[in-house]
Amino acid sequence: MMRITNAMMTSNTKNNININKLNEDRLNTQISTGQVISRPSEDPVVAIRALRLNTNLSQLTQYYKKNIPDAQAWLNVTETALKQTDQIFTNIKENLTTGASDTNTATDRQKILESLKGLRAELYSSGNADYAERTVFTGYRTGESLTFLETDKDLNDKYNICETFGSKSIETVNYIYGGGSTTEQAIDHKDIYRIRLAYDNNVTNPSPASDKISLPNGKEISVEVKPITGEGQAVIDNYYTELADNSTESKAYYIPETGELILSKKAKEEYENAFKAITLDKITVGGKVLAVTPGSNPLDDETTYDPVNGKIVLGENIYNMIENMDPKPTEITLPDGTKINYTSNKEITLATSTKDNFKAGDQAQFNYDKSQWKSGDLRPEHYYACVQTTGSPAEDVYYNYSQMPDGSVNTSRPAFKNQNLEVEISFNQKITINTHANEVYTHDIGRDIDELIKVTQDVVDADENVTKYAKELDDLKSNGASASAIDDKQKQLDAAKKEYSLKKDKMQKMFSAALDKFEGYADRNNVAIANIGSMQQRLTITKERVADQLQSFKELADANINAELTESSIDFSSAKLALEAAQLAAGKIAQQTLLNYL
Amino acid sequence: MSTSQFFGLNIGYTGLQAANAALNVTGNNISNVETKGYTRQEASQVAADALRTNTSYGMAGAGVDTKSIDQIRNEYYDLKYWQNNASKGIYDIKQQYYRQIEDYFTDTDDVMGFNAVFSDMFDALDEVYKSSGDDTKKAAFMSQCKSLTEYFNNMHTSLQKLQIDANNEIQNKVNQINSLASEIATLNKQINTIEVNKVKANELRDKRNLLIDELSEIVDVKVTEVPIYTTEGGDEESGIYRYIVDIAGGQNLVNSYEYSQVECEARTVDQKVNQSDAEGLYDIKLNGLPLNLYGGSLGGQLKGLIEIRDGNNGENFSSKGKEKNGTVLVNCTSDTVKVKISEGENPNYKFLTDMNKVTMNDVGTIVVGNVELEYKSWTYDAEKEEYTFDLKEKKSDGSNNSAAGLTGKDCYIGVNIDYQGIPYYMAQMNEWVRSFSQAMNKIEKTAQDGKGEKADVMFACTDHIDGTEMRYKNYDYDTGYDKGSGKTVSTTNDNYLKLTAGNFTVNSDMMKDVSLFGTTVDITQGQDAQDITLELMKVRTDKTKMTYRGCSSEEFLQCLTSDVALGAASANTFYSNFDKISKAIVAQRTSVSGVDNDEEALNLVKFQEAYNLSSKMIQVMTEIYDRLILQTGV
Repeated sequence: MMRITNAMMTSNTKNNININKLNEDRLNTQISTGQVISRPSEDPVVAIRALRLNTNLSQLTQYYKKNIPDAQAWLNVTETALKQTDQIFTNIKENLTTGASDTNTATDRQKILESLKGLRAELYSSGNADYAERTVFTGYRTGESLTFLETDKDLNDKYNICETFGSKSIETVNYIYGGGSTTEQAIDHKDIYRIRLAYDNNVTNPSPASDKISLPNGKEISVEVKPITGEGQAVIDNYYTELADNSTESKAYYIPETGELILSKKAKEEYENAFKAITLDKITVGGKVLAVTPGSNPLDDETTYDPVNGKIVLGENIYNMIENMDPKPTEITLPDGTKINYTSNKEITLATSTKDNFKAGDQAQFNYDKSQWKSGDLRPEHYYACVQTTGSPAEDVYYNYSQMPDGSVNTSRPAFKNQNLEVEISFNQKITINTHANEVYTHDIGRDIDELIKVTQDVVDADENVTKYAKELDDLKSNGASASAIDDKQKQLDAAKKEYSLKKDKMQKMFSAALDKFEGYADRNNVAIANIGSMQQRLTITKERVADQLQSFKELADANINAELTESSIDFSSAKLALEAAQLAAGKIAQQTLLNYL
Repeated sequence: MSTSQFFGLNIGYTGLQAANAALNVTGNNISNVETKGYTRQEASQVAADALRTNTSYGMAGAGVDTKSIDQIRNEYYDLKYWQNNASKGIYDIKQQYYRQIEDYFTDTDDVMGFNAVFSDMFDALDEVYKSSGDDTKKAAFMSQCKSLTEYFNNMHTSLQKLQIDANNEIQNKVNQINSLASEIATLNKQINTIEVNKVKANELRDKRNLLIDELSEIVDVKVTEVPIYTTEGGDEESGIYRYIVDIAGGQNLVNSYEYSQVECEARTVDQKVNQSDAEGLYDIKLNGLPLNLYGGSLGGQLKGLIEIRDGNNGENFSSKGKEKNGTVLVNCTSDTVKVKISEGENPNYKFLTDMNKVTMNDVGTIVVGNVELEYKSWTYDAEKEEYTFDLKEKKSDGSNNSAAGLTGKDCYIGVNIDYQGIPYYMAQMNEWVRSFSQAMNKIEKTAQDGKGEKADVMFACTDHIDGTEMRYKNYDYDTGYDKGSGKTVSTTNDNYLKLTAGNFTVNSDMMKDVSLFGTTVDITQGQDAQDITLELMKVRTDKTKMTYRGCSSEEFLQCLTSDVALGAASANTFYSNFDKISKAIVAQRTSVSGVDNDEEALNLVKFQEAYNLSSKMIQVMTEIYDRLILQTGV
């Protein structure tokens, strides 16, 4: 039997009371803080889980409170702008319907003219809509407006624009020549082949390298520059009509002032044929499909195809990868199934017969200079690869060109692509919130209206001429002028009438054709509005889901760390009871000794 | 012959004396009932030598003899108590320090810790992502970056302060050891002076035991008492003992009247072990020789403090001199030490070939074959997996610093302490900030700033000597610093090796002019281009951008919390276990040696009775003499 001394009993009692106190304190802390643990070491698993849940909560809060509302506000601004644009389209279409009618008087046409001019000025302005001072339609260039806001009188902004065209870019237009002639026979019309550029009023000296249309199959159509400023009507008419009659040559004229490329029939065929070949956009080597980009000087991870020389060039890394294949491939398969030999050479030149089967892309390209911006003109950097020239090449700004690996601009590789502004609205879920300018605000709209204005103006002018000559004829007749003078005036009047009738006819046709076009523009605009609607719907659904997640993560976090109050309270009561009992016992032990009884 | 008539009086007298002595011992026990370290005493009584009476009844008892006053003590429990104290001391310290480490790494609703700061930073980056062209958003993000770097700076300072606290406490403990050693030696002398007369120096022994109790909490002790014989090799005990106290696994502290002094010697900058160590940590020496602080046998609070202060989880720089097959790993010339890290044989291979994990200071001391050599810089060749340490011409104390002739000898920097102490947490933070800076800088350096120039690094470090920011160049090696990359990296030209949680900072130019923070590789794409921002955002969760202990960057605190919480929990558990054991041993010890009130009360009654009886005996004898002398035959 163990000997027990008083000191042992008191010290044991002290320990026991202390243990009870610790227990009571722990439960008391649980109740007062509402949390099961106050230090990670009390339960590492709970502590680490709490950290993880809190990270999730903070991310969800960011989605719910900031990202989703921001995206919604952005979409609302975009939607409002697009609805304004839709209204403009509706107004334009009303004018077009009126304009296409045969019964319009000169006053009616004048009204249409004024109305169109007004709508033209308004057309792109809603494209400058901004959310928190960030333009919504301009991709990443939110600091820039969509259009020039002021007319650039000082010619500060000089651009060289690299415009691209598709297979259907050539249109047939009705050209009326001999306008203002005094003989009826001199006035007539002809169908000509034309590519309309995005901009008119262009500078008359395109860079020497750009006097050609580059075709996707590597061929070129050479272009002669034919400025019309200061030229007489006959010369201008000649620029337009000459090529229409040329059935032997492949030729094209560039008219900078009107922003048009006029093509001969042969050139048109050549152009269209260039799109018919198969695109060499991939090759297959050793079972692996490699993407091919147009060009001749690949980056390390690229393969290029240069259609001019029919040369495929493998990038350094691609070449090494092929060399290291096991077994090493001996042939390369082209998109049409043709197989060519691979002989460990980075450069593979196609035989001329094979080469003609392929093109390097789906775009033809023409470069031209442009300055003299007017307020309301669309900024080219939102649409095309272009260079803002400053006079010193080192400071030129290259827009939408690809980059070399070292970050410098690859000036030989225009690379316009749409810029998607993304917002993360939930875990790994991003949405693109921006509508691209080229989906709605295209250059064609403006140029179409400009042409409509011009053709209307032409008719108004021609009508005025008819009225003027008729009056002059009456004057001559009443003044008793010479028969030859009257005869001359009569001829002039007849010529003017013919010109009027031709132009009016052209105008009506153009108006009814434009009606279709503008239906198309309005449709694209409505598609954009519909897309925004569906995105808003997605956002609403996501917001609800994120709210749910937020709620359930909160519950999880609470369940993880929050103390169960009833349980803690009951435990606390019993701990308190135990402590009191221990204290009572201690009191009794300390009081009594043997001496009390001796 | 029969016994003297006065013999009985004498017997009564011895009884009176014995009872008196016993009463005094009882009194002494009672008065010391609450005295710390007091061992209950007992007067040991024996029957006095009987007289040969040459009578028919034989020997006559001569009363009682009080032989000695002895301590009732079981030395086995002392030994147990001291041994247990050494273990308890370790966890006592660890418990206290881990509590603070735990506090530093806290992240709750009330305390903004890493997670809060890190989330806020990436939320701010998300705002930049949504409108990269907005300089106010960038400014908000940059200031959140600054909060992150400040968080690490504060953590670094706090942990370093804790390390200094531990260091100061080590000095206190060493002072205590010294004062205890001198007291014990003094007591040894006093005890022997008394006991040479074959008397027990009970009170002094208690006092000495109490000092050993105290010492055993600080450091493990081993006590040996060797009897001294009167003649060399003889077998007659002189009654005195040689009392020997060894500490720290058998290193002698007190030998009878002699004692050694433990000394603290502050490390110089050249002796710095870990990059993030505080200045002037103490090395401990006993009698001028280094005290082995790191052996498994060390115990007590001192060991706890050392492990907290120096614990590196076993991840120090070390290498065998040669591989098992004889290939030389350590190559020395007079001014360089080249160390090849052997994948097969170096247990720290992974850690030593990852530049983000190395912890050596850029200047320091490397030990090759027990020779300490001071190096001024080091270079690592990733191709050969080989370190080159450039040695100083002379040591800072002017002595020879040549490594010539040491080829093939084992080498190390700092000591392998397999415990997660402060250096471990520093290294963890350093690894994270380095990996994070690299991941972010690598992306940012591909960007163009608002002016179309190439962007600079985002995260940099300040020079640890003059505090200037080292950000413009030389942040070169990247996270994928692999074997075969053909690169070398050197402390003299790569700032990532100097970047620690303590000097981690945000590029101050970028802070001042936020347009220098690039968000796209090609600014002509427009101000809101999101490419770089998106890449930066990926660093948060994408393990291909940054991994830390196999987790993503945001899981830093999760990883460390598990270390801290488990470290603290284990310190708590062990402390409470050893405390319980200690209490049990104390109970055993008190059970033997403690004074019990009731027992002493009973003794008091008992010896009073004995005294009374002896006094009655005297009275009876008096009456007998009265009868015999005055009334018999008168």
